[in-house]
Amino acid sequence: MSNKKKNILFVCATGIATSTVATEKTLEYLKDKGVEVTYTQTNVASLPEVADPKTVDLIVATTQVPFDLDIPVVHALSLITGIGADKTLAEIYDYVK
Amino acid sequence: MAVNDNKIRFEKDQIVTFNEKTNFDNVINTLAKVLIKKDLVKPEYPQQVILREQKFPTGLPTNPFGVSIPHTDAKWTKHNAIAIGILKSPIEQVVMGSDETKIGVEIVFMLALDKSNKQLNILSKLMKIFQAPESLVKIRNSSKDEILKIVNKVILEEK
Repeated sequence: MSNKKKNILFVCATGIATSTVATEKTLEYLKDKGVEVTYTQTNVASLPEVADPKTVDLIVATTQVPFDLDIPVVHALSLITGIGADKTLAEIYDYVK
Repeated sequence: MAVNDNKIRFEKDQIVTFNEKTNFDNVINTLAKVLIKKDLVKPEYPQQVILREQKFPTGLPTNPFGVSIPHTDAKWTKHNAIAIGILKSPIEQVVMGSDETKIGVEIVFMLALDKSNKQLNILSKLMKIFQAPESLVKIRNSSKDEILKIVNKVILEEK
């Protein structure tokens, strides 16, 4: 494990609604696992400006990501519906542990 | 008072039952009319919600039936609010984050969210309902007074 905290970018269409939920659920889960991360929340339109592969390790999105960004993307609809959320959280954990 | 600005407005007239077959645009326009009259959203709000839904669908494949959470950019909202449409005849909506996967939606939770939602996280509170099939069924089948009680319980609750 590297010393540097991983940086997660949470994305939804407005940057204030579903990404807020995805952020909350993810941070809660990672905290329980003892993993500290840094994070930013954004809307999908701003993604090309903020998604720098040098600084962002993982994108967690509730929308489609219509760009080729060279950053892994985890789809997080399950964090909103609760159905399959554990699997999604485990997938996020694998990227940032 | 500034404190009141952090509240989420949800009152009985913000619940509308659609007994006849309807469509997404009609549901949004009908619900938004109530919020516009109460000066909670801007006049452009319904059109913006409808446009956004085409690009970023908000159908959620919940159990035992689908729901949707149409909303739009904070700039069209004046005050955090929720409006609920109960659809006796389900409408088809595209699932969030998918291309064209469709689900039957029986409850529309239309959200007016301003920037303070980042702290308030209204959606996170409502999710307690989405994730409990018995709550969804109860809302679909209950009187407006009961719906008000169920929803207010989760949105007023401290985390």
